[in-house]
Amino acid sequence: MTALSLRGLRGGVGTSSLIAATGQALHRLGERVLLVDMCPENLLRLHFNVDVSEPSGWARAMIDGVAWNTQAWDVEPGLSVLPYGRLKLEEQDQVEQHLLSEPMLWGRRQASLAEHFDWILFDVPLRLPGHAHVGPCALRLRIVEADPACHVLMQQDEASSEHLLINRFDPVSQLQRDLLLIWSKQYGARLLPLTVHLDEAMREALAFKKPVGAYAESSLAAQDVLSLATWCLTRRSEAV
Amino acid sequence: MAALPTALQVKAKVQSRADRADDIALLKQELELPELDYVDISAQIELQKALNRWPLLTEIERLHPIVQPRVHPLDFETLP
Repeated sequence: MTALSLRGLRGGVGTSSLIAATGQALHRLGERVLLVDMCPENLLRLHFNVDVSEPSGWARAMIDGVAWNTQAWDVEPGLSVLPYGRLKLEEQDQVEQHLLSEPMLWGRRQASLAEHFDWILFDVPLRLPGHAHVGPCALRLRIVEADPACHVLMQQDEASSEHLLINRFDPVSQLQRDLLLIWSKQYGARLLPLTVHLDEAMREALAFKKPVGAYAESSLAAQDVLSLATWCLTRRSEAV
Repeated sequence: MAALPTALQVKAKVQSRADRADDIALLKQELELPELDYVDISAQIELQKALNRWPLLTEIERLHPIVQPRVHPLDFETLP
């Protein structure tokens, strides 16, 4: 089993939609996939047709003292999603404190899931260090947009070794092309050799409660994400 | 009967596809000049233009430089 984490460099770069699409693409390539939402926003499940009003999830289970491993939804055979659950702000703080005091919790959970899945994908939030303790991850992706805010934030984050993936890339934009050139020079192999292009299909997919590959298989974004999934498979085989 | 070697005999480091596609890396290997200091001037110029187009990027470049110093042609008049 291989763990993959996706985390935005800043809010609003489209991480949840991207991880939903990546999970679906890996599943389409024959892999058994579990997607875990570590974000209190609890949006990931909506890509897999879970009711908006559904309150359950692993963090809800932690607060209520019930089993976390009974909270996942089977989307299709070999594709499951584990939502965060609906929590009040003070309950989210409690979960954060719990995860900070028990940083190995998700590492143990990963180990218990290993024989059932080929991939576990974690949607990791920005500013909750406890929620970022997801256990060992062979692949860690930082999601960025080719914009000046991300450029500034990346200078402040130089110690990081995570791979960088550009989402919503628009090749018509001079500024985005310039930033791609600069980042290619500055970050070299850390920058993935592919980008996910700006595509309205990605937003529409959430409105349809599907990952983009299931909503619009031939869209540019879906094709890009399929390339991303293939890259993930290649990296896994190189790591073995 | 020959004994199997205890370790694989590796003649040369296997090159990745990116390495094989890199003409300059191949040239350095062929000439046995690994230290050859090659600067892709046109790429440097494009990078400099990209940085100069946007004041914020110019400012950040001053703080965290990524562009190598430009190579200037020799000025023959100043040569001894």
